[in-house]
Formats: sequence, C-alpha cells, structure tokens
Amino acid sequence: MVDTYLPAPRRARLPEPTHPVPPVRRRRASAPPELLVVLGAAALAGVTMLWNIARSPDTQYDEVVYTKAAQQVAGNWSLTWTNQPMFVHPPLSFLAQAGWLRLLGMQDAPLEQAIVAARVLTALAMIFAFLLVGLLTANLASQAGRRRGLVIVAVVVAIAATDPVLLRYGRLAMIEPLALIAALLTLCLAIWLRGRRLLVYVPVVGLATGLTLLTKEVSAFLVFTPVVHQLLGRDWRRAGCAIGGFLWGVGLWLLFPLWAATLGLTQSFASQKFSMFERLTGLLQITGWNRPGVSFLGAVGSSMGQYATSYLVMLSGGIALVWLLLRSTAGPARWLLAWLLTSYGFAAYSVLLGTLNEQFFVYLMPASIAGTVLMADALVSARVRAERARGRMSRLPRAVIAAGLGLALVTGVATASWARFYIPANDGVFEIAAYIRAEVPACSVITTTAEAARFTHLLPGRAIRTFATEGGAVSHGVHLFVISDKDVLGGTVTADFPSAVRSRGHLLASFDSATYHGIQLWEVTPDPDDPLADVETVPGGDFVTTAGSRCGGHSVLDGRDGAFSAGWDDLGGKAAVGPPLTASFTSGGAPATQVFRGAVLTNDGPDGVRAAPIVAALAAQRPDAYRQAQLPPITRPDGAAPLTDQEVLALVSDPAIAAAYLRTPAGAPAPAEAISHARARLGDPLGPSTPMPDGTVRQAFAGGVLERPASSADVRLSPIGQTAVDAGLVTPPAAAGVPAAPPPLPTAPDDQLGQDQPTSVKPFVMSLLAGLALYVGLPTVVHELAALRRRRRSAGRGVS
Amino acid sequence: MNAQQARWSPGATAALGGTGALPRRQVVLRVLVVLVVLALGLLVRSSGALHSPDPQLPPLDGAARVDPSVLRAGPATETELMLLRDSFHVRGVVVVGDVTVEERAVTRSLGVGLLTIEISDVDAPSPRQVTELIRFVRATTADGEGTVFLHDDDGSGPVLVTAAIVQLVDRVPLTDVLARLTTAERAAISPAQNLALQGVAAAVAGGGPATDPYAVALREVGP
Repeated sequence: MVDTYLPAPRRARLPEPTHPVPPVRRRRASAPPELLVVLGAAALAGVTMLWNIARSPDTQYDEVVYTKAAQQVAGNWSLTWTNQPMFVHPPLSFLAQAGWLRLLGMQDAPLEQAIVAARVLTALAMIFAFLLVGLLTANLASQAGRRRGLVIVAVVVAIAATDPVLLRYGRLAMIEPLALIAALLTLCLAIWLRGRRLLVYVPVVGLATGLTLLTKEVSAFLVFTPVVHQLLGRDWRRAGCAIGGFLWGVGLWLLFPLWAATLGLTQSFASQKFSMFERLTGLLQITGWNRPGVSFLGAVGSSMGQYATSYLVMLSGGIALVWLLLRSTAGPARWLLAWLLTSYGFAAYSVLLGTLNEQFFVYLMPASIAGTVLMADALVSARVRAERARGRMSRLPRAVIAAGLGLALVTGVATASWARFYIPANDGVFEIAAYIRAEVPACSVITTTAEAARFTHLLPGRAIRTFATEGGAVSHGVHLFVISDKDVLGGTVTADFPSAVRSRGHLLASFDSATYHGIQLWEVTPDPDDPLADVETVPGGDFVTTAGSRCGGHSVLDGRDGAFSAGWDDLGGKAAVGPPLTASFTSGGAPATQVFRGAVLTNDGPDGVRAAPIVAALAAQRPDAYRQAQLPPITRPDGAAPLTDQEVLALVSDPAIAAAYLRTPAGAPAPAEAISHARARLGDPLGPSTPMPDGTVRQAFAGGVLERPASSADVRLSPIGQTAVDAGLVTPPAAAGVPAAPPPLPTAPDDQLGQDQPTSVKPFVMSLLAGLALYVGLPTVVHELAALRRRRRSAGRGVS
Repeated sequence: MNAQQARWSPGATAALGGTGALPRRQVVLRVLVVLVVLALGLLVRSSGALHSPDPQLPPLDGAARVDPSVLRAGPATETELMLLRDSFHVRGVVVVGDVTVEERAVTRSLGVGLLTIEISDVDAPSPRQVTELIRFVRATTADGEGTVFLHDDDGSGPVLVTAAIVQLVDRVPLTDVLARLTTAERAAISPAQNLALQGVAAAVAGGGPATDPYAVALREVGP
C-alpha cells in the first residue's frame, strides 16, 4: 500500500475553469469543524491543566531546583542552583523558562511565585503537546473520513487532556512538557517531510531533533522513531535519510558538551553524563522504582489510585503494539508501529533493567493513547464490517456503543482523579514554608523527611537538614521536624521516624497535601537531662543547646575559668546535673562559677570545679521556694560538727541514691576512697532521703539534691540552679545568661558544596545562536547552489 | 443505507488502514522474537549481570569482613548506620576510640546495640575490654542473624587489633589473622598491640601462663 496519509507532499493545482461558473448560493460563514475541534480540545486541556495550578500539585525537589536555576539564568545567566553548573540536563528548557520568567519580570520574585509562573509555561507547552498528539493521530488516521477523523482526534486529545500521568507532570515546572512538545513536533515534521529530498528532510528534522535533545536527552528514543519506521519498511535509502536527520540533530546537541568545554569543565561534564548513562542503563540505581528495596509492583499498586486510567491506557497501547506486530503494516500503520516500538521499547527497558523514574511515563503516554484509540477504531470497524456482512444494519452498531462506553469510563475515572487531586488545595510545601517564615524563629534549624533542598530554596537563610533518625537530629539540638508519611517510602529516613517524632513531640501545624499524604510540623522537646540530646562536642568540652531548635546555648568548657567540663562530667554530666543555664562567669573577685539546672559549679577549691554548697543557704533564705519545689528536709543544723564516713554512709540509706552518690554498684560496700570522692563532689548529706508528696524520693546534700522517681533507680540532681539564681545566691552577669550561637552543624555529605565553578550559560546561548544560523544557513546555501546547478544544466540543455 | 448509517460508513474501514494478515510463519517468528527479547531482559534482570551485585561490604573507608557476622571499617554517618542496619543486618556497633553523642543517639534510635572500647591508636584492648567485646559480639550474633560493626576513626587504627582479637577468639591462628591484613595494616599495629595479640593467641591455644590476664579474661567468657 502506498503512503496516503496527509498532508501529501505536493498538491496538484486545480485547473482554471474554462467556462463561466454559475453563481452559487453562499452559505453563512461558519467555523470549520477542524477549528472547532482544536479550540474545544485546547479549552478542555486548558481547564484540566491550568485549573488551580497555583495550588496543586504540591511542589517537589526537581521543580524547586529547576525553577531556581531558571531564575538564576534570568537574573545573571548562571545555570545552577548550587555553585557548579548544571550538566545533568541540557540547558534549553532552562533557557525557555528563564526567558518566560524574564518576560514576566519574575527573575527576582519569591520562589513560590516563580514556580507558579513556570508551571503556566509548562502547562501551556503540555496543552500544545496534546494538540500535537491529536495532529499526529490525524495524520495516522488517513483512512478515516473527515468527520470520523475529527472524532478520533477529539477522543485522543480528550484522553490526553485528562490523563493522570500527563496532568501530574504537565502541571509541574518540569522539563518533560517542553521535551515532549519538541519531540512530538519532530515526529510531525518527520511525517510531513517523509517523501522530501534529503536536502530538505535532514536539515529540518535534524534541527528539530537537535532542539529536542538539547531539551532532554532521554527523549532520544522518541525522535528515533522515523529511523525505525524506515527500517521496518526496509527502505534503505529513506532509512539513510532518517538516520542522517537523527545524526544532524545529535550534531546540534554537541553544543552542550562544547559549552562545558568552553567553561573548562569537560571532565565534570563527562563525569555527570557517565553517571547519567549508568543510571539510564540501570548500572546505577539511585532513583526510581528499580532501586534496591523498592518494589516495582508495590509502587504501581500504591499509585494505582491516581494513575489507574494511565496504566489502563498503557496496557491497551501495549496490546496495540502486539496487534500491529502480528500484522503486515504499511503507511500510517507502520508509522504507529514504529512509534509504539520506540516508546514501549524504552519503557520495557526502563522497567526491566534501567532507571524507572515515574516521569518517564510522560514519553510513553502519547503513543499509548494514539495506539489505543486507533486500535479501538480498527476493532470497531471490523465489528461494523462483520455486522454488515451478516446483514445487521443497526443505527448505532454495538461496537460503537462499547467503544463509547470504554471512552466514557476512561475519561470519567480520569476526570474523577483530576477532581480529587487538582480541585482541592494541594500545596502543603508552600503552606508550611509560609508558616515557618511567619511563625518559626529564623535561628531555628529544621529537619525534614524529604530532601533538604525541597525547602532550602523556599526558605533562604534558614538551616534545613535531613536527619535519618529522630535521635540524630535531637542529639544536635534540632527539635523541629517537617514530616510527610510519603517521604518515608523514599528511604531518606527510618521507617519509624514519623512515629518516633509523633510519640515524643507535639504538633505545631498541619497542612493538606494529596501529593505527600499531608505535611506536618512537629516540635520535640527532649528531656533536658537526656545526655544524648542537644550536645555538640567542641574543643575543650561541649556545647549544649538550651534555646529553641538549635537557636542558642551555653558551652561547658575546660578553660581559663576552670575545668567546668571535667567537673560537670565528674558529677554525672548532663544526665545527672542537666544542661547549663549560663556560661561560666566571674564577678567581684569571686571564683569562676557556672549555673546548671541541677547545681551551681564553682572553681573554688584545690580539687578543681565542684558543686557549690548552696542547698542549706537556699533552704534558709528561701524556705518558701524550697518547700514549693518539694525539696527534702534538712536535719543537720548549720555549723554542726563534720560527719565521719560512717555517719555519711548511714545517712545515704536509699540504695539507688547511695549508688549514685558514691558511684558504687547498688548494695556494694563503699571503699573509703569512694566516700571521700563523693563528699568532695557533692558535699555531705544534709538530711535523710525522703519520699516527697510528688512521688519522688529526694535527699539533700551540701551541693545539690539527689532525686529519683519512687519506682525507678534513675538518680539525678533536682533542678535547683534556677531557684538559686532567683534567690540571689548566685548572680550571674546578664551576658552569661544570654545563649550563645551554636557551632556549625557538621556538614552532611549531600550538602557539601564542591569547588566554585563558572556557571554562565551565555557561551552556550552564543554557540546555540551560531549553531542555529549554521543549521539554517548551510542547508539553504547548499539548496540554492543545487538549484542553481540544476538551472544551469537546464539552460545548457536548452542552448544545445 | 439510510442517512444515519451513511454517517457511519467510514467506520467499516479502519482509520489506520494499511494492515493485513501476515503469513503464519511470520506471525510465529515475530512472536518468538518478542518472547526471546523479553526473556533475555528478564534473564539479565534476574541474573544481576547489569546491576552491580549486592555489595558484600559497606561503602566505608577500610571496610573488611572480620568473620561472617563481624564487619570492620572507618566511621559511618547517620545514614550509613541506617543502611548498615537495613542492608547488612548490623545489630551492634563497637566503637574503638571516642564515641560521639550523635552516634550514641543514632544507635539508640536505630535499636542497635553500642559498645565503646576507649583506647588510643597504639593501645590494645585491656583484658576487661576483651571480655566485654566478646560478650557483646556473642550476644549480638547469637540468633545467627545479627552482624556486629567495628569501627574506629579511620578504619586503619585500633579497630585492626580489635578485629584481630575477635578472629583469634574464633580460633583463627595468629599467622592467618595477620596474613589477612594488608602490609599497611600490619605496619599500623603497634608493638603493644602485637604483644596483646600474642597474649590472646596464647590464651586461646592454652599455651600461655594461666595467670595471664587475657587467659583469665577468656576463661571468664568461656569458649
């Protein structure tokens, strides 16, 4: 069968009329049906793509960093969101977004606004992509009459415009919509120019191929379709022509590595591209559904609620592929087969072996939809033929009704999915970023279950980290947690991370997000005496966070003022004494002092830092406060004779308190050395251990009050430090009480920036302009020279 | 044919056109080609030929397997500790040298046991520390599932002698233990650590004096 699909390469001119044409009655001018279908399709796609686009879907890492990079390009030609140029993807889509943002004057706008603006461009690109899918289908449905052809196109665009996968990634400021529109345009050109000379086909299709590859390389399989089509037809000459077009496009893509070479970063480019090659081929699995520990079927199942109709259409597209493979094909059918082969070949490789990122389905859907609809049309036609052959001439054949019901089912379910995901607010990331900006002190460090970069660009100047465990975060004094349950599936945090935070913290804010199953901000307030919370080792001791989420704190150091760190450790460290309430200080010639939650340490003796004997004074000067704190009775009068070791032992009768005081196992005999050390550390007991009304057993010593819950052997010092300050027993200078800035957090491997590199994309733009001039100019010159040669030959033959 | 039927008349021909039945041999051939390609893909996937096989060792500095249930290496970050737990079944961590607050907190969060052997780069574990180490390793690996991860500051310091002691207690001869180390690792073992290794080896073999502290320690933990 000869290729007959439209538009034909050349159209014959109608002969001039040779006789007077009778006047015809003019019908009232009306829009042609094609225009109505295009407008209707664009309107439908416009609604599904743009409705509530500012608030749904929730943003994600790629969208945030890509828009940030586009803003940088628009502002200062810098294609990066770090300090190194972005070589993972080609620059064209970023240039397009940068131009768009510049046009709207949003290069310096808040990132949320820029993301919404960038989404509008990609959504518009996706709408045109839908129309291009319709146009491609119209070309392939060459045997349909005008009306049926329009119905088929309308059905294809309707399915595309409500397809959950295309909606998901078309409504985000991602590369996919721009790459798809470029790839589909290339296919349209390849079909239209399929019969044209090499000098026409190669430059035009090659240029489109090159621009597609400069948008996203993974779309290479789509623009390879013309080659596959010619190979299927075993038309080696045209196959050569198609390969030429493809290679011509690859030549244009070489501007990308040329840019890297211009920046002097060839090695970095090669490294990133090699890594990408490893990922695409599956040698390296760090993202997507084929990662170790991620089940492909599980991922499909969990996304079924949203993507059900996409999966159905993919399945039926696959059936269309098998159907065409088992038939002899020619013309449009062969084209469709080639398109399905490249699309499903890529998909099959990705599923079986390669990196399977969800957004790759975007490249599969157009062929799936066209294949499904055209196969359904063929089935309906066959049924209609069969019914007619049997003499059944119903007004509306059952096959048509079945196809209509199928269409209604697919678009109905897809529309329901659209309504579920895109009508309600689904912008939890933006909302929680706004909440943090407004309500959370700027000094606060926040950890998230997502990649930190999802929030760092939305919250410039804020410290955002990703700790894998709740304990890891709290150990560094980080108390604020942004949690989404869906992130846990990604494996950045332990599976029990959210439940650990929820069981120990309190909810500050919660925002709806269908994308992330909700996003919440939690605050965990650890036990102040937890030795594994809020402590950062620094030279000479520790820094303890005491204010907010790593907003500030005090150091406990072995320094000029005294060995406070050693003294603190000697008393049991944070677990027993609690955190510092002040820095160490000296005032009025008094020994250096540092106030802790459970004691006041002073550097006043030959043994170094010890607990200052303030308990008796506190009880005497502030009996009300002493009683209110349910501190135990003091039975040894002030100025009483010193106790013997035996008397000390007799007074510490509570086994747990005795063990903590003497540092000996509970019930074990205490050597004299242990008693001596204990008395030096905390002073002598001032009274017996006493169960207090709050259920805690307490015993007063000269330097502090040891306590334990009635049902536990965990002993620590009662929090008398602040009471001592309030009572005026110690008067730290104001500066000592002001929390100091914490030391920098250890840098996570993912947050480490490399060496600063040039990031200007200007050289690429210049070379692209030169390349485009060459790609347009050179073929034109060659074409004109060939035409001139032909004319001369004709003229020469005419003369002879 | 009435007007309504005429409206559907193109439906009798597929819009796509251009398809026809293939000879049976061709159909069989194409089906076979598709099945072979799919089978090859599945074969490659299941063989793991394309994907790198599951690593036997964690991607850490100086990583090595001490015995089937004990690994040694340099320090691990929080995420790496999580991966060690999830991918290498690490249920216990032995820190040779200084332990950070973060590591103590993370192991607590991960539900992984922690033992600290506080020694300097040139010291050998004391007999008491050897006792604690052996008890910890045995308790962690008792169910046959758990793995112990030993580490120091860089994977080439006192973790070497600690790991060697674990092997000696497993009745690996000292010559074999040392042969498993690289030249640089053997050179990193201090004289005091060498002496301790010989003491433990003698105690395990029963050849040393019964009053040797390591012999006493090993008797305490039993065979």
